[in-house]
Amino acid sequence: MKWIEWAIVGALLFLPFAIVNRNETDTLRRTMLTELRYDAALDAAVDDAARLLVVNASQQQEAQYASAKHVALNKEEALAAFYRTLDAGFGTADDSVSQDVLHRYIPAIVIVGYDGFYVYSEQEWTGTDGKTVMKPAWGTKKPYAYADSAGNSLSFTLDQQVLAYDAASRGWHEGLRQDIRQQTTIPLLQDAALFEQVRRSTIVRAIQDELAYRINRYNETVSRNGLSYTFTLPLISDEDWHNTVDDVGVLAFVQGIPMGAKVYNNYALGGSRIVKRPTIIGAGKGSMKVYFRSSCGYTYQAEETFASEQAAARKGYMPLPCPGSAI
Amino acid sequence: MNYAPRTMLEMSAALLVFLMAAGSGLILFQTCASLNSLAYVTGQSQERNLQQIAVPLSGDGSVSGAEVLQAIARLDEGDAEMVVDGIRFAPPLEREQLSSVGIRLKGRYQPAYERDASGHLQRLTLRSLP
Repeated sequence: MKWIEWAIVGALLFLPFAIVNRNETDTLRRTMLTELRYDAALDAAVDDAARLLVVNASQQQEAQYASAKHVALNKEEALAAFYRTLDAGFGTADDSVSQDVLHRYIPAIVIVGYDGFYVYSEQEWTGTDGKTVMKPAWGTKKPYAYADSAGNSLSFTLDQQVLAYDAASRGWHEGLRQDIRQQTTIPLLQDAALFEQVRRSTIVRAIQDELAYRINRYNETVSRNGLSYTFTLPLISDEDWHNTVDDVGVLAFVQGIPMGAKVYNNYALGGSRIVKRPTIIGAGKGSMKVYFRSSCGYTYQAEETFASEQAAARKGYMPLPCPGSAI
Repeated sequence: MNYAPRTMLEMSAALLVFLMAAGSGLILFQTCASLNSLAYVTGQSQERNLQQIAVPLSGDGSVSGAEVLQAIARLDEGDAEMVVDGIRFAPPLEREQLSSVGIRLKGRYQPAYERDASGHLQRLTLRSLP
């Protein structure tokens, strides 16, 4: 054979592998792009829901609370906004059948409230015609409840407010932890650090347990309807759980949407409050470059402003604590 | 040059070129394949939900006595009424009465939800489990 013929044989051998490789790469690229689009749609839906969660129909309920986190929740409005934005993001805004299909991939939506949380998930009840109806519906508000070995019981909130039942005096106490700790002998109220630790873990565990059960129930329900995907409680990072504990918000899951060779799984968490961080000012103090928070009230000539203390330190500025603070 | 040595030289050169082409093609293919698998792995590790949690999903839907007590204590206007072991609690509620009801804080309670035809929760019935 001539060398050109050898080259042709080589090319023919190599061609199928190259085609398979190219197809795989192309599928992966498309999957990733679709995933990014879905992520954006879910994030936007949850953010919209969280925004409308605190939009209140009643003026009276808006300003009467002591804590900024204690707001009346507008669950129905938040839910409507979530589905509306999600449908628009997935391109099913005008197609009710596709919307129903898409909504089947959402096993649960959680609304994290100030003193308890709600789960919107599949429920069964009897309709007007006597037939069983299976649709998502709101469950009851679940408190962030804790009981110690002495028989005391506490109900936490997203801040230091607590409702405590003292088993010794058989009385109820409600207020900030530091205010009611002297009225009661409950050990947990006496230790601020332990209280905070137990409060966070109680809230996270309460939500996790309820979600695990609801998702399990959903698996049973959808398996009867021909959906073979097994829904699972996703692995949520500690950071995200801590964000959940910090503020009123919405947590939603989308699982099992077929997408090329794999399935789409994601969750999104939306907080209802926008927190303005203090600006970090970089300034010259004599020959030294220092940075401090804008709220500190220093009058040094500002040279630069930064979004974070790390950014200021990276530029060579030294930290200058606020007057009267230890840090 | 004679015909035979010339052909031999040509064939040797052709074979060398072929081997180089096949080898570089194979290396290219292997690189692409490993990059592909790396991209899949990276995608999976970034995907928060695809990983199964370590604790198996469990739960029978029962709630603790502490949750029952605190849920009753936090009953607000507009909330569904609660019936715990036959005792009815509906808002508005005096918290001080709760201490004598006998809810076992460490016990477990099985909830049953009663809803109207449109799905709104009407009553939550809780039965203590042995």
